Amino acid sequence: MKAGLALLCIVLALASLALGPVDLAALWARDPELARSLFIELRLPRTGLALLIGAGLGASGAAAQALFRNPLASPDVLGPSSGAALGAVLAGYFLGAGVIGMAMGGLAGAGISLLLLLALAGRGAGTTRLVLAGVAVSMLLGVAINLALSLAPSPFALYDLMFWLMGSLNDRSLPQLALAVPLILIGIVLLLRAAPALDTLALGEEVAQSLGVGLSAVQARVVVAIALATGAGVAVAGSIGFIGLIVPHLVRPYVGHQPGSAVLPSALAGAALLSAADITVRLLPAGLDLRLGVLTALIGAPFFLCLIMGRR
Amino acid sequence: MLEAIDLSRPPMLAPTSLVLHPGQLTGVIGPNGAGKTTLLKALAGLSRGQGHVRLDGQPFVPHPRRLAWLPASRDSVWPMPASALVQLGLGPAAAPDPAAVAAALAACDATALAHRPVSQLSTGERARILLARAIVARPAWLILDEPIANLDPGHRLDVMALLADEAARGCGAVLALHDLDLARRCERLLLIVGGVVVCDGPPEFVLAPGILATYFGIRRDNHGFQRI
Amino acid sequence: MTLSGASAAATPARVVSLNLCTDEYLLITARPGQIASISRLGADPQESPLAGRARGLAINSGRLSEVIEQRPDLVLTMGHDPQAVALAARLRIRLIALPYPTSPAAVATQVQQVAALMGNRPAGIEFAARVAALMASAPKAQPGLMIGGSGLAPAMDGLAAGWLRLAGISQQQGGQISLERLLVQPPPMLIRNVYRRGQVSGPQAWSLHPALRQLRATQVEADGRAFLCGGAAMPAEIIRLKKALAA
Repeated sequence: MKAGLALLCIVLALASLALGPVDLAALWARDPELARSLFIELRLPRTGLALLIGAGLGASGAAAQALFRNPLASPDVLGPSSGAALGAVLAGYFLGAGVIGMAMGGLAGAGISLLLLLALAGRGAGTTRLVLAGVAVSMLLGVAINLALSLAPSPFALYDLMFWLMGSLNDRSLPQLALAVPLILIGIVLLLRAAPALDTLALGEEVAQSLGVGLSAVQARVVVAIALATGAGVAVAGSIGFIGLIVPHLVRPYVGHQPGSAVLPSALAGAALLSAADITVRLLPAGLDLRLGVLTALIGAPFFLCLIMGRR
Repeated sequence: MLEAIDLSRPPMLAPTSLVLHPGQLTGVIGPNGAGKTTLLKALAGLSRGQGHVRLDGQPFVPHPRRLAWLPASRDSVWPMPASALVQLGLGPAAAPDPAAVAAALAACDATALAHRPVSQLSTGERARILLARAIVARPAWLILDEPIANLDPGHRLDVMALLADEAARGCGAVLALHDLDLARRCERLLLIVGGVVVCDGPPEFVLAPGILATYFGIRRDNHGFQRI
Repeated sequence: MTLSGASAAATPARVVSLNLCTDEYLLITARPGQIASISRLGADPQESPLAGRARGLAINSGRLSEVIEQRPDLVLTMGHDPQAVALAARLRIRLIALPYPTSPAAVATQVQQVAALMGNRPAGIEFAARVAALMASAPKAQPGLMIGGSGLAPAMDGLAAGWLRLAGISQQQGGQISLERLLVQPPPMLIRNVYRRGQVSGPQAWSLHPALRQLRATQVEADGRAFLCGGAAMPAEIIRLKKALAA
């Protein structure tokens, strides 16, 4: 399965590099210098970020569902994405931080919101309590973002709200890709290393503990890793939802429903899904200007509803 | 040797010191809410509180081969195949070991259930799978909280026999149970009431009529147990 | 309340402005001591090029309820604000809500109207003359593109485009600009609307994109503050732009 997903990612990456408003092949014939520029400065960052952010979201979703022992957990439903947006907003608008500062703010925001969720939902919380806590945290953070933008020194900051809540990969730059790559990759690697413990966690927290899993250590590691894997992406592209929620469900049946083993395939599937969504956004007719975050929500929200209905 | 030294979890469990020996099958009985689960969890090193547990003279550190804990809860979140769940009992660092998994399933009469998703099994079937998970790593100690609660009479006897076998090969097994007839098959019984171990000894001693009357309000006659 | 029926009233002694754009109108037409307060934006050098004229003036938060205690003779604001209009009517405060102007000529008309309200018609006439002069001396329109910090270009038929025509630029495109298309089909003239240079937020990162440096177009900067309203501060900005573009 992993090989198939990896292949899919490669195919989508190539498609993403080739497709865009400008016909690259034709441009190459006319003006190779400009075509090269376009390719490196615009196509490459966009493709790279779609794969990377998708992978980070997919892996984080799988890890969150394993850690909370709940199929409805995910970085966007439960708050880390909103937390990252708030962190980036505070860093950028109030502390005057540059792009790097905003990424750091994003990481901090994601981490803190996860800790808040753990505190509210408690260990081993049932679905109802977890989702309620997640909704509460998300709402709180959404309001906080709104408030922060309203109070920002610049009076027109509130117009940026759309960017933060519904992300987009339009016109991303190479420096942004270079910033996100190490952070997201480290986050994914940390999640992969926690995968065996996350599998064991399927037996329940007490049993996992008696089998030698250090619960607090695993929780801390996963929180930090999710913050890295999602926070940097949000700081660079805004909040992109539902990838982290959907992808583990698509992947788990193929890994024997082992929640930890699902982390790597979820990373690959997330990369593929987000790349496909981004390509779709680019291919839409000119009048229909759909943001990436809106498209993933359009697909993801009905899926989420089916999930909830299916569990009754 | 598993030693509990001044273990207490107020208000559920008063300070308790115990020594458990390998090769012994020990039963923990008592009224509902008496503290059986609290005592067992404390013995398994799972709850934080006063006192500590020593294994063979060393402070206890959890490991799949040292001690297996089986909680009373039977729910499982992920619909994974039973054999996969049992495999997890070998620990996070373990390589796949189909032979050990098959042996554990066979010992619990659950071989037919190997490929079924755990969440689709009946409670009793799931109980047997969870027990298989507990024994798969062949741990030195088994701490089991009501392992026979959901089982039919035949499988209850099977489990008691299985635990007796484990004890015979050198494992120390401690289980909480309500079935006083099956409790007779233990070598040693701990009667815990209100968080205090009030009686500790062989079944003939602990299940004496006076004790049954005082703590359970029952007596035994030709037809079985009756209320006093 | 229409402007034409207002001329009968006496010259107001305490005028309040609740909006940046009417702040700017007041700052160029009011006589000393006539202004009771303007909005905090009008006095903020990061928001208006005319903020220097607001030194020493009281500032308000833009809400009518806050300025009631100043007992204004006249309150100016811009845009649709039915709550303020209703409140002013109940409190019998004279409030005039000017519509958003859609062209430089409309701006000139509004300045003249405000000047008349202030009892300072000469100021209005002078402003209108400056705008007329700009219209008369407008260079032949060349295709060009003005883009804001997040890659948004003002509409081709809007107020900003109207002013740009006076600087000799015909706005080629409006809405969100795709960097790819911009690189491949650069406009001959690119005007970057610079507002709050130090602030880098999510959308504003667009303007830091390395690809913009390689753009083969004459690049000129416009003062974003003036373009916020496209009003009283524009004539000076257009003159500056014309010089920059000619260079």
